[in-house]
Amino acid sequence: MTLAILVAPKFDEPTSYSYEWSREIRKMLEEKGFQVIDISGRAVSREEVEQVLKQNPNVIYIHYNHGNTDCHYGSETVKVVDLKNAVLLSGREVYCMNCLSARELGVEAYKNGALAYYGYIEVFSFSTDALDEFKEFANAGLKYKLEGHTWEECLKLVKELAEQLCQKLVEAGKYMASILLKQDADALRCYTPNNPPTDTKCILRKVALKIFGPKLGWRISRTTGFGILLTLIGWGIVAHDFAHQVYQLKGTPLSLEGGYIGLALNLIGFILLTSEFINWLKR
Amino acid sequence: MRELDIIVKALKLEAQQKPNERIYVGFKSYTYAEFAEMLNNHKNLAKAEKEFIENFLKTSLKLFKENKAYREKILTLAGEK
Repeated sequence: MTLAILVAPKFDEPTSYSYEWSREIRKMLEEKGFQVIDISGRAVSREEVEQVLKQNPNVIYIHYNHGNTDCHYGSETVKVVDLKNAVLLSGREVYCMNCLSARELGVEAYKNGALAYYGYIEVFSFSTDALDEFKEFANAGLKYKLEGHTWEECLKLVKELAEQLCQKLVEAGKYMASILLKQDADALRCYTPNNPPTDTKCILRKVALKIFGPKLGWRISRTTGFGILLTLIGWGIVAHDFAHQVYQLKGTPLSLEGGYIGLALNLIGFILLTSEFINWLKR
Repeated sequence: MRELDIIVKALKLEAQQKPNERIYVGFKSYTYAEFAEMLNNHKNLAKAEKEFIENFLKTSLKLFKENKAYREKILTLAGEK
């Protein structure tokens, strides 16, 4: 029997609603023949989530309720999954209905080889006058997945569903709810090897994504990027300084000097090493 | 009246019609009236709340411009039509 891990802590007012939504998820999974390891309905500790993830590698992991950019919460203060143990998400599909976690944790999971990370890059919001619509929207991704769609198709279908639900809410005079649902839909992401993350606030990462594309851009570490940047700045300073010295001695910077040859060899060597590194990353 | 002013006016009227409903934003919750009040006074809010309200207003303006039904209903509710 196929396993699924469902973590839906319940410890405050908002989680009492989203916990109820997670019951439909459990039912959907069981109807499709999954055996659900369900850690829900109470405050959940980091240890029990880590243990169940370690004992069940490659099993789909579903988290409902509170999250942050870097974590999934098990209670108001306990982070059950965060950047420190994100490696536990590698090789598995991750489905989230929580705030913000796709922003950092989702990217980390993608970098660690998660098969899919479905979640939100902004705060998830909902209103009590449209609970059925928010529940339908929140659960739709997994519903489509269980119907046999790819994760990329699920994302597209859920965004289309959100448009329909928004329209329905507008027609019913639930304007605030329609705006909140549209915001949620805009914040929804699904990272897969075919659909890598593209949102980042880091300037160096933006440059890397622009030059090398998302697949490769995320594989270059910040330290490597910073090292490349420092090397090029240092090379520029040396080249400028040397040219200035040559100009002072000979009245022109253009002269066949050993220093220029050394700098040229330096640059060629750097380009060769960098291209080898990029090729290695591609493999 | 500016488009955003019309939208906020309509949303405040919607809030008056729903005194018992709530809005949940992450860990926080608001009555409709509290939330509608923040739409006008978001400059002094905490960073996260301010960002959320600004994004909410941006989305509402986008809907107003792109969704005819939403636009018509908001204009009617705000008494601008």
